[in-house]
Amino acid sequence: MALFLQFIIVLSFSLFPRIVEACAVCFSGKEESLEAFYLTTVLLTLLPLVMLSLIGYWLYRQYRKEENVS
Amino acid sequence: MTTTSSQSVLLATSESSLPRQPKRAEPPVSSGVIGMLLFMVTEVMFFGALISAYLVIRAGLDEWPPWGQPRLPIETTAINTLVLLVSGFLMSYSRNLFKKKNISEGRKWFGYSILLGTFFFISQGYEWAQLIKFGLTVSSSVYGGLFYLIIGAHGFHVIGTLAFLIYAWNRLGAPVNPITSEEIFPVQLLWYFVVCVWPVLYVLVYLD
Amino acid sequence: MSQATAAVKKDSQAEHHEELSFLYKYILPVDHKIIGMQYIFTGLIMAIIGGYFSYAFRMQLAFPGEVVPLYGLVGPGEYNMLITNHGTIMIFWVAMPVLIAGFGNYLIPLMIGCDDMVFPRLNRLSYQIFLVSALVLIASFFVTGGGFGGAWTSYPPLSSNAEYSLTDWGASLWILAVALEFVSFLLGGINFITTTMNARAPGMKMMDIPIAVWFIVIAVILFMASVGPLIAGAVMLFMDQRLGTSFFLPSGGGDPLLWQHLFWFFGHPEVYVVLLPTMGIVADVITVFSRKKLFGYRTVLYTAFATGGLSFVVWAHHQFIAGIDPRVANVFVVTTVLISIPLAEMMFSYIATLYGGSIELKTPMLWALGFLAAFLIGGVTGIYLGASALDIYFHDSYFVLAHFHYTFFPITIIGMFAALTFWFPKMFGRMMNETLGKIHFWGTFIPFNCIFLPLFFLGLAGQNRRVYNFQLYPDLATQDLQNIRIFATLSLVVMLIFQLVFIYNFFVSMFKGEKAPNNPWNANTLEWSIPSPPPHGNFKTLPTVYRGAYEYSVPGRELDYWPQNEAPK
Repeated sequence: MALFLQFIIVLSFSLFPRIVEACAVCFSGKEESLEAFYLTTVLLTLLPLVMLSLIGYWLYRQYRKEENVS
Repeated sequence: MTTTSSQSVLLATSESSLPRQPKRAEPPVSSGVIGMLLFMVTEVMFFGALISAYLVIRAGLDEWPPWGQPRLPIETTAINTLVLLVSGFLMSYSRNLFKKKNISEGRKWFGYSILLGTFFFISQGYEWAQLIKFGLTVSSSVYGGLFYLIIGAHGFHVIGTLAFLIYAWNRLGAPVNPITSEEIFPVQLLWYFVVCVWPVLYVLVYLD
Repeated sequence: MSQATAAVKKDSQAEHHEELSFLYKYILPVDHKIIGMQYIFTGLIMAIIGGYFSYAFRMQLAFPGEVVPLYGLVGPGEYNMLITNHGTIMIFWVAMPVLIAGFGNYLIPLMIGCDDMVFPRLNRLSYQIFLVSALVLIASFFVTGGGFGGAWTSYPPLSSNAEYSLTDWGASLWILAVALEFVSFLLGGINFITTTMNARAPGMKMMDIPIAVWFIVIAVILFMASVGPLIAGAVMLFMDQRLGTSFFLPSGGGDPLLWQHLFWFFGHPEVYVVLLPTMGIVADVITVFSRKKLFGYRTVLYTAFATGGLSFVVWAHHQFIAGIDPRVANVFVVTTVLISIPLAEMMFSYIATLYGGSIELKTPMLWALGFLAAFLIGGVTGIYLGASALDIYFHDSYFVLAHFHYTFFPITIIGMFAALTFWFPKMFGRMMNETLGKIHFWGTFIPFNCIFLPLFFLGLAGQNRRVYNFQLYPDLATQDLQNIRIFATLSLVVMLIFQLVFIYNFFVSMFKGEKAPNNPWNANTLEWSIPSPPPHGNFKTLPTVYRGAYEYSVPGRELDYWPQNEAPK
């Protein structure tokens, strides 16, 4: 448990990153742009997972039903 | 297979072309429906990407819509949206009639649905002609580019699906080589998709 | 399809199985085997073009400014065109058509016991679009200005504007070819999944399907769920080039980062799209040649599902230094490192399959083992690159290049040879020459390592990718670095020469090889229960499946294999 807590604390540092000054191209532009990129990243990442799992589950149930009947 | 098929050209299946023992069980979900569902996953991702592009580009600009660009006709498009939604409902109504084996009645409502879809397409085309006259073109600004990209992508889907629907409608009651109402269900599914994605685009592009 | 029309069609088709004219058999086929072989042969021809390109630009790097034999002088613009099209061809026109479309078409119906794909004409259309896309790509090398030179990722604004790319029509044809190719695989992919769902032989349950088929299907699902954004991006890029829009041009209000998002959203799942078919093929090969049951069939399958799911949430690791938010980068570091867990588990399963087996080192088995060894190096070096802090140093260096060649080369080339040598008897009804096959294996595998291992060190020394002539940079122009470049290039030449052995072996065996029996490797899966090559329509009677695909060395049986369709006593 203690180890786990340590892990969580260390992990939480990653929520407060500093800007990497050494990196010439690490800039991010306007705050609204950043938020739009956030939003679209989440949208594009979750869409296929949600759709595929829904369709997969639906097909699984249809085929399961068929197996039970026969 | 090459010449005598009674099937629509692309969705011709070879599922049960082994005329020999033992029999394969009839699948619970037909191949056409599975294929169309998978195709729709790709389509949703395609429109998801267009929506993402819209959100990102919009967030990067201070003034939206950009100065000097015409405003989009919200009211007439609202009516148009309604027409498309009704078309979708009629399609689902005809599907219900097909399920009850009432083919001729179902075919009638199927036809009305196609008519409304065609109306939607024509009036969108008229709207485009007007907008071009007012100076909103693909290259006039990134706003115009996005508008024509997103609405145009939807328009392509409308006309493509309509072509399939009209073909199916024609063949449904044909005296030679008719197709069954089950076989056109995948195309109906595609029409549902085209109808359902439009309100999202309308809210995003016109209202927002 | 209603029963009545189906019955009518059955009769007409049964006759058609015999009397196909040359035109319908080879030019406009609907038979999945012919279409599969068309894909494989087109892919092999494209592989020759891609390999030739790599020869030209490697020679330029080793001996800058000198005339390359069999090519001529490589100018800076031409160098860019060569590396761009080498990458594009090898991924989109070799890995995908051969491994997924080619072997998918050939193997899926044979392995699940049906006579053809569910939508045979969609399948034919898919190949025709693919062929057109390949021709468009080849045509793009010959237009004014030459082929596109903005790297296979084609980042705007370099790619979106003819003033920057200097390849006006080359760039447009390139993006058109890529978009066409994706449409083609989309159609093929619908077919693969539907066929596997609905056309399996009676008795074949989900858990009896061979891993090769499973993995091709999972790969295709990944492809279909990820390709939409790239098609959208391709349309936008094409409009930027041709219609004067500015979706990706900051000067017109667009955002160049947007393209990177759309591209890599597809681009990373794509890595797993090409990886999984090879993984599946290797699973089949190693079980056959170690005469053992696959270790943890379900585990392997679930790891593939986990890989597929995670592959959608790792893509931004290509953009760590592209200006994305560091907080987003953190999330993607975690997911990137996470995805190595299911893949490592898959590797362990394969190694456990080998452990204690009676291993027969036939040529396909050598290729399969070579794949496991080489891919391991590629996978392990990927973990370093997944850390965003390290990536700042490694990004766009030869370390990255060596890393992804250590993944893509085993996947594409080694995996392709494993599959080709394994299924060659089934495809052409003749055996390949074992001795020549082994010479070819060692002549490819050793030079491959000699090419790419040194490149890791060049990358650590700070050598950047996509540089035409390193002599222009004093820090990189030193003699010891140049020696490494020359060594890598000479290894490439040796490897390319050894491919002639394969070409000779392939064509001579195809016509003059020893006749192959139905089941030369004593394998279990359904395709080995029918004559080699399989007749049109594949199975005389629809086979019934009684057991899983990997019942090797079952105790209490005198034969050490147990075909899936053999009825229990």
